[in-house]
Amino acid sequence: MGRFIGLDIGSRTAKGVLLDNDTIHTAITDTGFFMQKTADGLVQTLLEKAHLDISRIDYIVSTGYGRISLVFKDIPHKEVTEISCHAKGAHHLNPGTKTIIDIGGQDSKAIKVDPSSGKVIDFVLNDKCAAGTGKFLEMIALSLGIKIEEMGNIALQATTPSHITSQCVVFAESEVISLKAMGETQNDIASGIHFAVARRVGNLLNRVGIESDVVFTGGVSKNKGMKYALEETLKFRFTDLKMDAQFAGGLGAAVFAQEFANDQSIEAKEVTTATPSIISGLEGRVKQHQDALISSAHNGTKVAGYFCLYTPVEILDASGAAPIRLFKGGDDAVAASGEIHTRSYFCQFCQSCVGGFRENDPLYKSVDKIYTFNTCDQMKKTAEAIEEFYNVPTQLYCLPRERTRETSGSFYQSEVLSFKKDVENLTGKTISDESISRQIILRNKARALLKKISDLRKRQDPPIKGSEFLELVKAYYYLQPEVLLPYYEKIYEQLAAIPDNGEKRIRLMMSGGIVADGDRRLIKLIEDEIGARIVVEDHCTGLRPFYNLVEENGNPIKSLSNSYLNQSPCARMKPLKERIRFSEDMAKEYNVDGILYITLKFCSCYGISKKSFQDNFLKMGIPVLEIGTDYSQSDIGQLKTKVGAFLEVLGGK
Amino acid sequence: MKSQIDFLKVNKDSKAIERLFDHVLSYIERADAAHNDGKKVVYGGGLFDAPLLYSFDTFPCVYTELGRLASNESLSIAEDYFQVPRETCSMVKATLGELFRRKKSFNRMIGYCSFCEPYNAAFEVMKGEDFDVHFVDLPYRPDHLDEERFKNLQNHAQKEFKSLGKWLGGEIDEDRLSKEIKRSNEIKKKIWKILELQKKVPYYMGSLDSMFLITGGSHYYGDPVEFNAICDLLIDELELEASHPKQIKKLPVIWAGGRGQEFGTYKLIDDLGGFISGWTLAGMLLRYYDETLPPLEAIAYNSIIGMGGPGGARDWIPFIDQLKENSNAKGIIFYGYFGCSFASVNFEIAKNYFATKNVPGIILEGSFQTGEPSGQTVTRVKAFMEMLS
Repeated sequence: MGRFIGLDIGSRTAKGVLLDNDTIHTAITDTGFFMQKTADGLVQTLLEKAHLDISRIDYIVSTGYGRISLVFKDIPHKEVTEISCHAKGAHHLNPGTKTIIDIGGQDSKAIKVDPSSGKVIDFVLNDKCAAGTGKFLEMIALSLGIKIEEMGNIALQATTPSHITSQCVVFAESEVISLKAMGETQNDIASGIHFAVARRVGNLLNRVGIESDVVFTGGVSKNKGMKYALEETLKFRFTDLKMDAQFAGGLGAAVFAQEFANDQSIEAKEVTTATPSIISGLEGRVKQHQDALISSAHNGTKVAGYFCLYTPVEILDASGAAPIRLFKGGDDAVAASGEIHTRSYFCQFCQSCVGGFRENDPLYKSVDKIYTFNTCDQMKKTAEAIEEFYNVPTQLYCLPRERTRETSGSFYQSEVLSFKKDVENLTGKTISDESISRQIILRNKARALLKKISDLRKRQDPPIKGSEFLELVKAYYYLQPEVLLPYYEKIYEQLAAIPDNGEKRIRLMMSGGIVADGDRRLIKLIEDEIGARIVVEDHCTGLRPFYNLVEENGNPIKSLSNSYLNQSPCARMKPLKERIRFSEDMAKEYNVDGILYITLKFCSCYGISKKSFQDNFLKMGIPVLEIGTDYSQSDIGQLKTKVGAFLEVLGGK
Repeated sequence: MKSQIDFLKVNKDSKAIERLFDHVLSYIERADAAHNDGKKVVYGGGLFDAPLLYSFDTFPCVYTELGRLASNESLSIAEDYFQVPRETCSMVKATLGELFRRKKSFNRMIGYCSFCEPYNAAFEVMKGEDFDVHFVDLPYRPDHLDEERFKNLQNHAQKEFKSLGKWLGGEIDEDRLSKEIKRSNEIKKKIWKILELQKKVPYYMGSLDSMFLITGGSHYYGDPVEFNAICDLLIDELELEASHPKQIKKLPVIWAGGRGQEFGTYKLIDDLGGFISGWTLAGMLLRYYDETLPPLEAIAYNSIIGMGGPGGARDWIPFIDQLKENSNAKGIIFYGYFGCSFASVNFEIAKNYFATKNVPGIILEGSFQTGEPSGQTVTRVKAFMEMLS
């Protein structure tokens, strides 16, 4: 017994629930701009309703977008994601709940619940796009000239629901305008919109699987038109809850508050890191090198840029050119600048590559020639756009996709040979086989050291964070091996000397598309704010490329061709099942608790094949969280909720 | 729910065009019938591989043609079942959904490695649905190719077609393939003749009719005899019409880029007094094979050379220039699906080039819009045509 408050600070409305022994009090208000003020106001209203003083409250749990950084003096407080809270609340109201649809102002969720405990088993959120959310309905209501509160009832009066093709708010709005112009009724259009949202939400539901009892929570659950459209589209009936389902999240938070109060042993773990100073030393060395290239202090050395990992960098090393991988990203302003030539439907990494040249990035401007082995469509078109619009000489080489086919090796070898001639023309130097062989040995040493450093992450308490490991990998793409090796060796020694204190953290693998130099938003959120640890990266700027070494014997061109073609593959390469098997092996080797499958929007290679990857991970019994993202900062709240809820699921395993 | 077929039902006075529409619209049904009759049918044959397929007595069922059958249900399958990201090109999603719906029919298909990234990824996914997919690993033709590299690319393409032959049934019968190449060239010649005659009587055929004709130039919609007969009939009709042409003025424009399934856009151009006088599609699908070369080499050559294969915008521009000069076109419509990265940069580069020559261009980004074109498309096309007139 006791008194516990749950606060659900949503994007549009804030809800509060007070569990006062057997009595439930509720309060609701607009979220407003200042979250703390909103939360304090809700607490005050609840106290007034229950005729209580604040000192009588035992515990507060906050949830929703505004849950972060709330402070309640002298009252124990924690935050829990709204996904867990909606599950807990729905379970409290209806213990048979197995599936929840939650549609709020800013996002929609499908949640699978364990009816024996009310814990989340699986969940899916919409991506950052507003389609399928309360915001979407609100925007359309505005176009139709009706109030959002009336829209559901208006939709129920439809005779023939209009067909709405688009799910994008912007496109749907113009479609609505077209339908209005064609004389379709307000009722039919409103109904059509509800069915469009129902299809979108149905997509989420299908991904977790629908099992009765199904309950509908969130602000949009008050919309009768939406309830009807969902039931008609998905062919099931919702179970009614004992109270307004809009309060399910707040109620769940209050139930969590009660549980936390009863189990004071649950405390958040302090996040500690063991960053050896030498990592910053290496970062400084990379910067020093880049500055030298920018200031032309490299005494006429040619700067050769390349995009993807199928470019045999040993040839560039042997030529005396300075190779740099062009993989900066993470800044949405630079990406937006590149959109001028690539359109909106290139991934933001490719847009950033173009944007870097358009924005006169000094390092990019130092590049004398770009070489790119044909990986994805977008990358090759990016290279063409850079040459066309920024006059940087660019040469594309062919890369077979069917890497196991007998004829692919000889064809790729002929392209590597042409690449070598091209580099000789750039530098004016003949590249001998011996010099390539020397570079192969040096690059192999660097690869092996990175792998060895990564192996330390197999420990219970890894001595290096994922974000730090990415910095080591980044250095590989800017510095040449003779510079790199002493750093790597010293770093390994220092890390190996850090004792394993045995503390178990949640171990995650990051899988999917490229994580650009500068794109650290997500990994910092995971490691620095939430406290999990990325222990292995199954992507091309993490550990994955360092699994295979180049053959050191025989003809070096042949060795490079064989080894590069057969390196741990990008999802662009065929057959896909081998690529997936590689991911599987990495996850097993590093004994991960969960996998974050990250795709950049508009990346076909990893986007279209994501289900194949995820199905395989799930078959292995490893939970997966899929995150479709880009470089904008606007979805950080949603990312926190997604990742936080995922870790709650993993923690509860 | 409307599909593109519902939208196609337009009365035509021309017997040849009516027959062409019947031929096109019965295509997939005939593919199914052929499969049910025990004949070999594969998804593929839309490009340089069609003569090879015919030489193996294989019915080519071009998967892009499935788009015409597709409804929003197909898109939903792609998004719900395969969880393909929403932003993916709708044509690929529609194809994926249709293939899944037709899973119980034939399931062998040919993919092309250098083409469209989403198709490549989607077909890999279809392998998981028990589709037998053979990829032809055609090299992409980059800019600045020297003769030696071009030859390497061509040789590799030739090996890939040989490998396709093995997948189709074994060793390639060169005599048979030569005959198919000859037939292909003869039919292409007829289509080029039709396109030339059309310039004299541009009101006679609709834009969609021309697109169907050009598209069939590589695979004949599975029936070369009927397609050939349709071409002959159309030539007769056009020659007759050209002997006493009506004084109807049409505004010639070039259609650059994908063929699109947004058929309402074609109708819109026709209704606005436009006439598509040149198609970049024709550069790829109606390129003659060099009959002096060994047949497989001729196919490989076409798959790499210029508009015969995938390549950068620099190869594209001279061909558009030529089309424009030959038909006195007033502007260029660059058409691609929203989400098609393959075309987008080409469009930007080409549009930029033609702008410097004072040739107006418009980039249309289609979606899988069934029925009438959206208000936005109507406005854009209308404004463009007004600007040109």
